[in-house]
Amino acid sequence: MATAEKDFGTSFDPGIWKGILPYLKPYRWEFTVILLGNLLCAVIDVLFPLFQRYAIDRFVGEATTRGLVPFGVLYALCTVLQALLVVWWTRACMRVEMNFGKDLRRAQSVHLQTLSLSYYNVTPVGYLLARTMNDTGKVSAVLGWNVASILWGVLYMAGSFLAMLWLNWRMALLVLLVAPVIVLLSGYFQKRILTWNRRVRKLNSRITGAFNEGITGAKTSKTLVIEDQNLEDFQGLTGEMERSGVRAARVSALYVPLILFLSTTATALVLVRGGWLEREGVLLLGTLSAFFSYATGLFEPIQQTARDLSDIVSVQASLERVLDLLHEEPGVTDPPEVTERWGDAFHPKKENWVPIRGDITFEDVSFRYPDGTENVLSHFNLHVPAGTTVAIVGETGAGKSTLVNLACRFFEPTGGRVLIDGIDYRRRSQLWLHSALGYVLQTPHLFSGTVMENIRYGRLDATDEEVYAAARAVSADTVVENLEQGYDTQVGEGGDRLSTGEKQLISVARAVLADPRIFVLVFATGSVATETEQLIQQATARLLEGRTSFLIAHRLSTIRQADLILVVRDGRIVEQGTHRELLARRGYYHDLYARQFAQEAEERYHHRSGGEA
Amino acid sequence: MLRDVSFTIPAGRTFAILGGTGSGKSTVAALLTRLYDLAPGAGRITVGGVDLRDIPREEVRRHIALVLQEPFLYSRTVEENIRAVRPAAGREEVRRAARAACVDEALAEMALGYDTVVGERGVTLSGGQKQRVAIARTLLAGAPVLLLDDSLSAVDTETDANIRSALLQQAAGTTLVLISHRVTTLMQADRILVLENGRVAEEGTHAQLIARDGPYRRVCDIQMNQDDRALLAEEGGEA
Repeated sequence: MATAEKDFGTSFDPGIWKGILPYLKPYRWEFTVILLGNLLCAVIDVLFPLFQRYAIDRFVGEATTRGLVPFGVLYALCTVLQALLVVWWTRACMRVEMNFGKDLRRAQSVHLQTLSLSYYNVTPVGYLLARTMNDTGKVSAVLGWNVASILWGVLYMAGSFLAMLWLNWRMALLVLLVAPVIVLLSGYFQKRILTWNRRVRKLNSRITGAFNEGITGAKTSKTLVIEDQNLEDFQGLTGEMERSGVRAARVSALYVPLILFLSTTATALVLVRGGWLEREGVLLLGTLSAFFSYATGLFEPIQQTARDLSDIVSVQASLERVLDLLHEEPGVTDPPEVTERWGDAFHPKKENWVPIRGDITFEDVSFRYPDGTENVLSHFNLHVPAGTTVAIVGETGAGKSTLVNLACRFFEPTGGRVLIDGIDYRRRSQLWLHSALGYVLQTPHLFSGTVMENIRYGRLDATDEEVYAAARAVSADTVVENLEQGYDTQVGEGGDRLSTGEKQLISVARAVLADPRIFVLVFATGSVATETEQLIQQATARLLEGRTSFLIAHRLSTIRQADLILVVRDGRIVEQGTHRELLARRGYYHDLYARQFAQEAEERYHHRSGGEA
Repeated sequence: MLRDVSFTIPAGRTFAILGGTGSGKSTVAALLTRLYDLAPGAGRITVGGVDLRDIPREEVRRHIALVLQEPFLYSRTVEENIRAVRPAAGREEVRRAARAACVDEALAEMALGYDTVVGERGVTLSGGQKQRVAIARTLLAGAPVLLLDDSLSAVDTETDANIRSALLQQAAGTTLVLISHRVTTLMQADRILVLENGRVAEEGTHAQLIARDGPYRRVCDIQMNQDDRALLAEEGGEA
C-alpha cells in the first residue's frame, strides 16, 4: 500500500511539539542546565562591552592605570567562567541528543514489536527505516542544539537592548527602528530558503532514486532498448535540479547582502548620532564604543535565530512522522489484567502458564478485516481437536490465511470466541499462544547469520547436537552439507544467498527445533526446485505427527493426508470435510481439482498416444 | 556455462528449453539478446543466416524481446511501465497487451487501476503481477521473437496456461521461446530442448521425449506427482 508523503508547511505548529513533551521529561535537568548556562553566557556577553566602556573612559579618557589589575582579573574571571559554562551546557546538549535519540529509537523498536501483523502487511520497510533512523536522528539533534542556540540568541538580544536603553535610550530607539525590519526580512527569507532547499532535497532524492533504478534496472532497460528514453528522463530531472539549485542560491545571495546593508545602515546611524553627541560632550567615547559593539553584535543573533527556527520548522515534519509511528494502535492488545498475570512480550511470566495441548475451537466466530466492509466469516463454528491436521484450499487470493490468522491471534475475531484448550485466548497473553506456535511461511525469512544460528532461533538453548538432529529430521542436513561451509555458511541478509527451497527447509528445521504444539505451513507455489520441494513434503509429513497443524497447500497429495479440509472461496468457507467426503459431494472442491489437474490429464493422454505412436 | 550446444529455432513456432538451476538455460537467453557475446571461436549464433554479432545490439533486442524472471518495474504508474517501450502507444493498445498478459483483471481491482504507482515509492506488486506487467510491456513492443526466461515462475499453473494461450492467439506468427523448469509451462511447445549442465541432454516433442524415458521423463514424473496422477485417474474414471 502506498504511504503518501505529506507536504509540510513552513510555519511553527506548537500542537505537534506538545506530543514530544512526555519523552522530554527525563531530561528536565539537562534542559535546566541548557537554560541556565545560556542565560549566564548571554549575561557575560552583554557585560563585555561594558568592560570596554569602562576601559576606554577610565584608562584612555582619564589616562590612569589605577584599578587596572582588579579590572584585568575580573575580565579574565568572566572569560574563564564563560568557557566553563559553555562546556557545562554543551555536555547537556550532547546528552539530550544522544540519550533522547536512544529513547526514541527504543520506544519505536518496542512499539514496532507490539504492532500486529496487519500493520506490516500494509507498511513498506523503507517507510519504517526512514522513521526510525533519519527522522529520529534529526529530531534529537535539533532538540539539543537549536534550543540552546535560540535561548542564547533571544537572551543576548534582550540583554543588549536593555543595556542600550540604559546607556542612551534615544540612540537605542534608533537601533530599534532597523531591527524589526531585519527580523521580518530574516523570517521571510528563511522561509523561502527552506522551501527551495526542500525542493532541492526532494529532487536530489529523486535523482538518487533514478540512479538506483538505472543500476538495478539496467538489464531490463537493455532488453527493452529504452536507454535513450531513460537518459532523457534523467536529464529532465537534473535540469530541474539545476534550476532549483540556482534559484535557492539566488535567494541566499539576495538575503545576506540585504541584511548586511541594513545592519551597516543601523551602525552608521549610531555612529553619526553618537559621534555628534560625543562632540557635543553629551556622550563619553567609552559609551559610544560600547553602544557601537551592541549595535553591530545584534544582527548576527537575529539571523542565527531565524535559521534555528527554520531548522525547527523543517524538523517538525520528521517529528510528526515519528509520533505517528509511536501512536499507531496495535490491532491486538492484551488487557492490563492479562499482562499482570501472564506477562507481556518482553517480560513473560512463564511460571503462570499452562502448557498448550493444541485443541482449537472457533465458537460462533465472525470476522471482518480492519479495512474491510463486510464479514468474511459469520457465526463460524469449528472444533479442531489437538493433533488434527487441517488443510485449507482455494484459489490464490480467496482468503485462505484468514482462519490461520485468527487461530494464531494475529487478528482477533470481531464476534464470538476462539478457544485454545477451552480457554478464550483473549484471557491469556499473546506470547502464551505465540510461544507454542510454529509458522513456516511461503517465503520464509532468515536472519543474517549462519545456518546454525538460524536453526537455533527455534530454541535458543538448544545444543549443537539438537540442531543437527532437527536438520536431519527434516532432511535438511544433506542440503546444508552441500553448502560451502556447511552449518557455518553465512546466509546473507534475509537469507539472500540461499534459494527459496533451501530457506524453506531451514525454516522447517527451525520449527522442528522449537517443537511447537500448533504448526502452520504455507507451501510455496512454483519457483522451488522440484527435488527440494519433494524433500520439504517428506519433512513436513514427519512434522505433522502429534501436532495441531494448518496447511495451506496446492498439491492434492499433500492435502488429502489432512484429517479435515476447509475449502475457501471469495473469503468464505464453502465446504468442509475429508478428501473422500468432499470428492463425493461433487461441489467446488471437486471442480477446483478437476480444473487444476485437467492439464495433467491432457498430458497423460498425450503420453499414452505418444507411447503408442 | 554452455558446451557444444547446437539447435535451431524455427520461425513462427513455439520452442521450449527445459533445465534446472545451473543448466545454462538463462545463458542461452542472454546470448540470444546479445547481453553477452560469444567469444571468437566459441561457435556462433545466426539469425536468418547472419551472425548475431554483426547486427547492432539495439536491433537485436528490438527484434528478440526478452522477459526476465525477475523483471524490473520502474517507479512510475503501471500504464507508464507498460508504455515505456513504445511511448506513442494508445490506451487501448496498453489494455490489450495487459489483457493478453492476464494482468488486466488484477489491475482493475486496484483502487487506482492502471494509474497505480509501482516500485519503491508505491504499491508492491506480487511477483506474479510483476511478471505479468513485464510480459504486457514486452508484448506492446511487438517484437517478432519473444523470449520468456522463467517469466511465469511466480504465477499459478492456471494463469500460466491462460497467458500462453493468449500469447499464441495475440501473437500469431511470433516465434515464442519458453525457458522454464516447469514441465507444464512448456509441454505444448512444438519442440523442446532439454539442457543439463550446459549440454543438450535431449531434444524433441513432448510425446517423443516422454517415450524416450530420459531426463525429461524423469522431471515430468517428479513434477506431476505420481499420487496426484493416480488420484486423477480414479476421478477421471468416475467422471
